[in-house]
Amino acid sequence: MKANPKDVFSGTYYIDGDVACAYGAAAAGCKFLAGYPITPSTEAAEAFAKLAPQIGAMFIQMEDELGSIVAVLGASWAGKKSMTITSGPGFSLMMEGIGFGAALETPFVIINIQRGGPSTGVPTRTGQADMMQARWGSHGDYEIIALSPDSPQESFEFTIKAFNLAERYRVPVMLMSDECVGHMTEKVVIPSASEIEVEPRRFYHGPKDQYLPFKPERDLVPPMVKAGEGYRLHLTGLVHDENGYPLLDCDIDEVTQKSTTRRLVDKIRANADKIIEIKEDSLDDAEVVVVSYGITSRVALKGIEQAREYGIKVGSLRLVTVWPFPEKRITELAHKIKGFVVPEINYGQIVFEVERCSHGKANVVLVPHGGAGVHNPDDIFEAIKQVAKNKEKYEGVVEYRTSLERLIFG
Amino acid sequence: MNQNSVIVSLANALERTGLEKVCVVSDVLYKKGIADYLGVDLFHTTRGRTNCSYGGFGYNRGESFHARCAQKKLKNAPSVNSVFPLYICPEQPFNIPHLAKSCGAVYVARWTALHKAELTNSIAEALQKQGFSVIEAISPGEGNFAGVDGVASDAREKLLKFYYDNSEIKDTEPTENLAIDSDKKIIVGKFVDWERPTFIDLYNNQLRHTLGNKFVPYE
Amino acid sequence: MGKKTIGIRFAGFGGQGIIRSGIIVGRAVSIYDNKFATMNQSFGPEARGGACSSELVISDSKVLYPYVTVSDVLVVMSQEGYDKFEPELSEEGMLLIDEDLVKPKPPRGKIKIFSIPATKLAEELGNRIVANVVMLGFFTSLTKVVSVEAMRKAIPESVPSRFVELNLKAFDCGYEYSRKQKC
Repeated sequence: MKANPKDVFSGTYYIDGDVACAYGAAAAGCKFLAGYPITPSTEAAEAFAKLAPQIGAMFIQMEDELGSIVAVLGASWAGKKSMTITSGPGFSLMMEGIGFGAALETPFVIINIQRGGPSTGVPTRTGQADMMQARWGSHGDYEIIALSPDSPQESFEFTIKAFNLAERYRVPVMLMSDECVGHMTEKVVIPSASEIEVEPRRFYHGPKDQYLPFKPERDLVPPMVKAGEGYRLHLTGLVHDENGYPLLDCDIDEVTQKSTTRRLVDKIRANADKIIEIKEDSLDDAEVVVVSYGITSRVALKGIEQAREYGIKVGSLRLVTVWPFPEKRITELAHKIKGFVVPEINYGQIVFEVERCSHGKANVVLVPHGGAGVHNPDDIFEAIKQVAKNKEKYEGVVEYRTSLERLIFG
Repeated sequence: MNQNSVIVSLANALERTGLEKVCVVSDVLYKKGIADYLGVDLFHTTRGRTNCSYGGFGYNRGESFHARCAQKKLKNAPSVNSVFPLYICPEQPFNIPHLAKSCGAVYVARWTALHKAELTNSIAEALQKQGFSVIEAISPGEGNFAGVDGVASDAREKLLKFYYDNSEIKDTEPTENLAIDSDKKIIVGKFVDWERPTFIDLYNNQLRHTLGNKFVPYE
Repeated sequence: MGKKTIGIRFAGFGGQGIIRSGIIVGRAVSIYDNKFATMNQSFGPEARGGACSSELVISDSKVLYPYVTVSDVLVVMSQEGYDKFEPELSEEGMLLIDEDLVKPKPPRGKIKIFSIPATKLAEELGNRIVANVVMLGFFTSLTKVVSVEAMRKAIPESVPSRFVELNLKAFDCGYEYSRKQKC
């Protein structure tokens, strides 16, 4: 389905990544945003608040992030495409609601403009350290989808993608942007509505009395209805069956058999090939492959350019969808190459996924960054050089000490 | 089926009003069949977070703060007055109607499990009002006191007797005097009932005024 | 300037339109000159108080590293901004200053200093808030990193409509000032 022309503000803009997210959400058909202001994501919420009354949407500032995420869930069940926008501290508060949303198979989008550091961290500077939290930050078994943009243009495009995936798989989708991308101003081209593909909600069309809110159809995903239309929905965060009824009085076997939990995981894992999007460059004869995402993938290209000039055969694998992780592709590459270089603005998160999928066939070197800034491309170049020249086999992930860290910590 | 008097009152009130699009958001109601029994959509939320926005309706800050706060404190209220406290409750008495009023509720009432007819009536009235209403229902906790039969029914009777002896209907009482304390009577009644534009009305009116033709209302 | 990637820093104090300067040039370069321009600005406590800056990376291809670590052009409109960012300026860079607000040290290396009484000229035009745009005219003429046509298109989109005329006048004033100086 094409986007509604009324929701698309076509044109060429010079805006930051945060604002681009708001235009993307509008174009995707988002009609409800509940959030609480938090640096460095506030510009996105503010921009959507400005667009909202022009497209029949609502922005509501809630009392905090606990309230925001639940309001988003409610709006989604009322039939609206909905989202929230936040940064680390708010993201932590939202974990409870994200788990609830995943358990109820509620489509919505969470935009996390990551800041540096744990706890309050560095609000006005960048980081990529919420990546593991995005995957399993809430308790219990579930899977989500996460995307990571590297520019304002991608912030616009990936926000639309996030909404589309949320609707297609009835799952919370996270747009894991960061302060650098969020606050970076660049040219953004918003095409006409006829060039934007949006996924409509998968509504149920059968007889009313036969509707089961958690009975899967295509791709293991159940169709949805709106609350208030007489379906007598019973929605609970308790482990439930296809009716939505809690499995409280059942014996263990019956719980396992009737529970929807297995499918929460399977619907993402079984469809992983369809969901996963990666951007590959020069992998055919690569000896070293740089695996990166978000802003780091962009900075890494500079290190890669330097390495190529130096004469190293280095390729790039960029994670557009970070979750689900492209396990098969990493394993395939691990058999062919000397090693992976994984730069990320944290002290090691995605690198351990790369290591796991390498099955000991290739060396894995982490180029860490403590946040509040992006990598120095020279460090990525040096790490590539180290992997290319090295003849020994590493055990586990080896951390590349950046020039700055060597300076500080020796 | 749940014997809780609040649920029975809610069911009766729903029947009386004949409302069709009703959603119940609760962190205690989750048993199979409740939605069908009441003829509603049911959201059983986590940890008392009842501030779902439903039917395109959202609460504003104060209101949802209230909803959360009241929700949590309601569960504590019976223990303040319980005739069978394990120990003395060390918390300060909490005043839900006063909080509700200051948050801007259009309808505020308080009843005990003894006042079934009044409670039903209040729920029916509140459901038909525009905006948010708060009704504090002081009732025995289901698990301990309001069990269907056996030992618990004796306790339940004693509690209802306690309500009979210790409550007083006083609609005109200013809400600041309504805190529940163990050495005072529980004042019950309908304390607030007025009209006020809803959040959605204000939103739509204000933005129509500001944006003119460019405004597309939220529906 | 023959380099592939150029780093530009605008610095001054809050209210001088320092961030807007970055946006105007960035917009002109990326939308009307069809090159790439990434703009970043100072945030947080440093953006609220005295010092305020924006940085712009211009390139013929996609900008990979979004920040300015060594600037090729430094445009400063406050002494504090000069003190803070002068060390970052390349030894072959250009330094553009509002001569009434900045007293520079003797230049390092091959740094070239260009002065303009931007704020005074803006006051003569009737409003000192356009001092930054006088400076942009001066900047455009000297650096040639952006075309005059692109700037004249980007300015009206970046300022309130009632100030468009004044801003264009301010731009021309700064542009002409540099040409007169050269003669």
